[in-house]
Formats: sequence, structure tokens, C-alpha cells
Amino acid sequence: MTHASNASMGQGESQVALGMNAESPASTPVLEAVNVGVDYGEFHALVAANLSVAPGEWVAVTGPSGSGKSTLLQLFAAVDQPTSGSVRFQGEDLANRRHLDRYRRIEVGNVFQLHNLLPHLDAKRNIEIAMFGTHQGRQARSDRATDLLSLLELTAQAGHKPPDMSGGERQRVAIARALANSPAVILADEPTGSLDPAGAANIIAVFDRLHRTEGATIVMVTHDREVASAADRVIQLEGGRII
Amino acid sequence: MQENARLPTPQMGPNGESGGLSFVGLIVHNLGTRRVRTALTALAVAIAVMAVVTLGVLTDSLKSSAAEVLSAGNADFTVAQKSVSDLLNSVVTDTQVTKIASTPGVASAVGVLVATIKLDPAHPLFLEIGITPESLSPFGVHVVAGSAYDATAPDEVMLGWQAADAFGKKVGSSIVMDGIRFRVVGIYSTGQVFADSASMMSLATLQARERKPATVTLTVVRVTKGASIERVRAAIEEANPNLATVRSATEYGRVDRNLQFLGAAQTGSQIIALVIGVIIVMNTMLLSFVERIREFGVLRAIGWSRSRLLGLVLGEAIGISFLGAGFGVGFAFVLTWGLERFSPLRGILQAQFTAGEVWTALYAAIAIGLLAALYPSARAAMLRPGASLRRE
Ligand SMILES: Nc1ncnc2c1ncn2[C@@H]1O[C@H](COP(=O)(O)OP(=O)(O)O)[C@@H](O)[C@H]1O
Ligand SMILES: [Mg+2]
Repeated sequence: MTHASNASMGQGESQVALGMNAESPASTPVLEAVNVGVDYGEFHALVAANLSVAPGEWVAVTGPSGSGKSTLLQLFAAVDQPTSGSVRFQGEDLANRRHLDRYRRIEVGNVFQLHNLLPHLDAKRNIEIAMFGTHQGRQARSDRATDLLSLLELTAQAGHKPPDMSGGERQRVAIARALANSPAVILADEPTGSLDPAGAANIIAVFDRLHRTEGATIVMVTHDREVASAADRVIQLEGGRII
Repeated sequence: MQENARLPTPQMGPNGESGGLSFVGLIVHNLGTRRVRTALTALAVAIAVMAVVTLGVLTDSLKSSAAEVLSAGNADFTVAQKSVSDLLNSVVTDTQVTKIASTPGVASAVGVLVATIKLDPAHPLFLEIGITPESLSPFGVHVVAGSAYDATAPDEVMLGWQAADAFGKKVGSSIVMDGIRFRVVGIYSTGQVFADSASMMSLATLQARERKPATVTLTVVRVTKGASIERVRAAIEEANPNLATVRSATEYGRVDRNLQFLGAAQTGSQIIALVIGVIIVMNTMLLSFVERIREFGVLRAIGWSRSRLLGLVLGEAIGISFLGAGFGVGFAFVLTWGLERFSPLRGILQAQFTAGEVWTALYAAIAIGLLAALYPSARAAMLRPGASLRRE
């Protein structure tokens, strides 16, 4: 990544540059699900799903509860494997990737619905631990976390622990953590699910800003049509099928 | 970037008050977060460590106390009967003493009869040493007050200076032992706690009282200058198949089966203490593991490797081990201090705390921590992130 070297240090935005890894040619999708099926025993959670996410695209996945939205997102996050079909990142089948830890750490940034921060660590440290295992040293991790907190307007909450934060603040910390290693794509599962309408609007505004100004690629699961409408494209799931 | 205007100025510089978190810092933080549990788990480790260290110190102390009697004076080695149940039951005949004394290379061989009596309830194992007056000097006994007893006097005794101190006796005092009133004719010093806490009298007197005519308990041997101690020992053992020679505390088990049993009991008890420690700590760690499945799942989902998670759990276990080792040594110190002063072992137990005990404690504690953490940490590492994330 070279964006840090050409930035002049006097400007605030150079310190918070996300450096999203959106370097693949526009023709190669960032993420692809190709004929993906997920079975839990006899139950088909996902059936022959096909989805392609282009660099810089913001895709919303909607559908009723139990329709397979989280299942699809967890395939993209490489925390689960498909029963059939393949999941590809920048054209490469994840089944062939040897270091999925590294994939989860570097290539994607996960935002989960609930209780996803470590409750006994403050906001800043919750972000820092996402950078363990990268080449970044302790001071660099600290600086990066500080910058991300600033980007998400959480500077005042840096020392607060999750139980002492509002739902919206917690979700913004989770987004900051997802951005820590400059991922190619943000994966968010019901990021507004636990928030009131004002909180939800605030989170959507954050995504919108990341999308428009940083060119962030986002795959967001939501059952809220209003929230989904902020995305470039809306995918509908029902009974494990994309319709 | 148009959001520039909205970005608040960072209130913390790169070197702000809250510095970066290190991996070890996270381990320490996690232990501190579950303060009470950490303390209780460390306590379990500490008690096991205390048991291991105290048993070790006790056995070593008893071994060296016993060996001190054997090595009184500037003896090169001691001869006693082989494999007796208790050193005090060893029987060496006068004939054998004479034979030992005439073995080539032996400069002096002093026969000593050792017996114990119950002086009073506080001193159930008071030592009486029977030795001829002319052997006192070769045996390394210095008369520091009064004079030595007479070879034939049936009621004269010398007290070791520590015994005299403890009982408040001086030269000229009298002391009743086994119903017989003795006159304290002298106070002696050997430089060995065990002997200095005992009494000495004429060999003939003690042989008569103990009804062991013409026998001694052990023989203390010095070799002539330039002679090989090992060769002289071998010669004596060959000529007297029922006798064994002992040179150091560790060889003491050759003559005293009690100490062999004691050593075995020590090892057994130490293993039991370790196993109980491991079970308690493993139980606590498994409980923690179940509570933290979601936390571990989140860490895996954001890119932590199996080995890093393994390192976290093992690191926390080692942190607990260090705490347990520290407390355990402290407890062991207090316990042996108490045993030295307020138990029947008073006067016999001379515990020595050295760096060796601290290492033993550390090894024991880390062994407990690692063994206990093996299974929980392996389960943490094997967690499937997707499955653990779905748990509420
Ligand atoms: N590990 C599992 N075992 C069995 N069924 C599962 C498992 N995970 C998810 N499911 C089922 O798969 C379906 C889809 O789940 P999910 O993707 O979480 O739905 P949602 O669209 O609400 O996010 C649900 O009916 C759920 O019960
Ligand atoms: Mg879901």
C-alpha cells in the first residue's frame, strides 16, 4: 500500500485514509457466490445461490428471518464453508486458499449484529486486537485505532467499554474494527438490527460516507427495506433462494 | 475528502495516555478482568505448590538431620547395619568395631550407641548418645563448660548446648531421664543442630540401661591421610556383609528404610497434590471456556489464528501459574515456619529454603497450569468460528 507515503502529514484525512484494497481490475468481482448450496442435514439453508459483488459496490441482502441471509454472509466471511458450489474472492476459490485466518484478518471486515465487541476491553483496544497478527507494531496499532475512532466520531468514547456505550456507538466501534486492516470489502450482518430508527440512520450514513468517499465495497444483510434502499443493489432471499 | 470538516481533531496524540495494547498486556488484562476467579484459581495452584514444596523441605530436612548424627565430627563416613527399619535399630557389635578399626587405611573408628527417650510431652524423641570419653574428641565433640563424664559413672551426663539452653540446665544441674536422676557434668558443642540438641553419656552406662551389651548403633570412621575413602568403604563392606557405609545424606536410605518409605511417601503425596491442582484448575478453565465461546468465535472471525487463540488461553494459564507459584512459596514458608515451632517436629525440623525451592514451586505451578490448560485451550483453538458466533 502506498497511499501513506504520498499523503502530506499536515492534513487530517491522510491519517485516516482507509486504503481499501480495491485494486483488482473492474472486471473481476470482489466476491462471488457460484451455485452455492448450504445444507444442515436435510435442511437446505441456501440453494444454488449466485451473487457477484463488483469493486466499490454496495449490495444489500434482504429477506425474511431464516431465509439464509446470515448463512450467505458467513460464507463470504469464510467462517463457514458451502456444501456445494464455490465462493470466490477476487476470482480465487476460497476452498483453495490455505490461510483463511489471513483472509478473515486482511481481506474482509466483519460487522456482526450483536454483542460482537469484547465487553471487558475499551473501544480503542477492541479495535487494536483486530490488528494482532499483522505486521503492525504496538504503536502503529494504537495510532491506527485512534485515527479510526476519529473517523467514526468516537474519539470521546475511546476509553469506554461496550456496556457503557449506546447501541449506535457500539456498532460504530464494530465498523471501526472492521476497517482496521483496510479490507477489500465490509461484510455487515444486520448492522442496524439492534438500533432505533435514528441510530439506524446514523449507521447507514456512516456506510454511505465510506461508500461514496472511500469507494468501500459493502455487503450488508438487513430485513429492513428502508435500510436496504440506501444500497446500490438489493438482493432478495427467500427460503434459501435468491429471487 | 469532503468529510474533512466533520472529522474532530484527535484528542490523543500518537503517544496519548492510552498506549497500544500488547498481546501480553491483553493476557494480563483478561486475568485482571476476572480478578476473583484468577485469584481463586491461583490459590488452588498455590495450595498444590505449597504441598509439593513443604513435603520436599520436610523430607530433605529430616534426611539431613538424620545424616548430621552420622556425620558428627570430621568423619569420612559412617558404618551401620544394612537396611534396618530405623537407624536406631542398627546393631554393630564390638567385634565388628574392632575389625573396622583394624582395616587398612582406617585412622579411627568410634562406636556410638544412640537411643531415644521421651523426656516430657514436648520432647518425645530426646536423643541419648553413648560414647566413651576418650572418643569424644575424635568424634568432634568440644566440651564448652564443665568436663566430660567419667567412663564408669552411671549418673553423669553432658548436654548439648542447645538442649541445655532449652531446658535451662547448667553444669551442676540435675536432669531426670527415664526415671533416673543424672548430674549434668558438662556442656558440649559439635556444630550440628541434631547432636547439640541431644545428650551424651558413657557408652557402658547407656549399653547397660538399654540392655545392649557389647553393641553400638553405628561406627564413625576416619581414614588415614592419603587413603582412598571409597576403597576403605569397599573393604569394610566386603568384610562385613551385613553392614553398609554411608557418606552423604542421599545415601542415608541405604541403612534406614524409614527414610526410603518417607521418600516414596513424599513422591506419592507430591504427585497427588499436583493431580488435584490440575483437576481444580482444569475445571475452572473449562468453565471459563464455555463462558467465552462467543468471545473466542469473534476473535477467530476477525482473523485470529488458532495458534494465537491457543497462545492466549495458555498465556492466561501461565499467568495464573506464576501467581500460584509466588503464593505457594509464601504459604510453604509460613507452614514450615509453623511446623518448626509449634509441632512435635520442634527441634528436629531445620527447614532450609533455597533457590531450589523457588524453582520447584515454579516448575510445579507451570506444570499444573499447562496440563490444566491443555484441553480447554485445544477446544478453544478447534472452535468453528461460524458455529460459535451463532451462539447467544
Ligand atoms: N448450524 C445450523 N444448523 C442447523 N440449521 C441452521 C444452522 N445455522 C442456520 N440454520 C438454519 O438455516 C436457516 C437460515 O439461517 P440464517 O442464514 O441465519 O437466516 P437469516 O436469514 O435469518 O439470517 C435458518 O432456518 C436456520 O435455522
Ligand atoms: Mg441472520
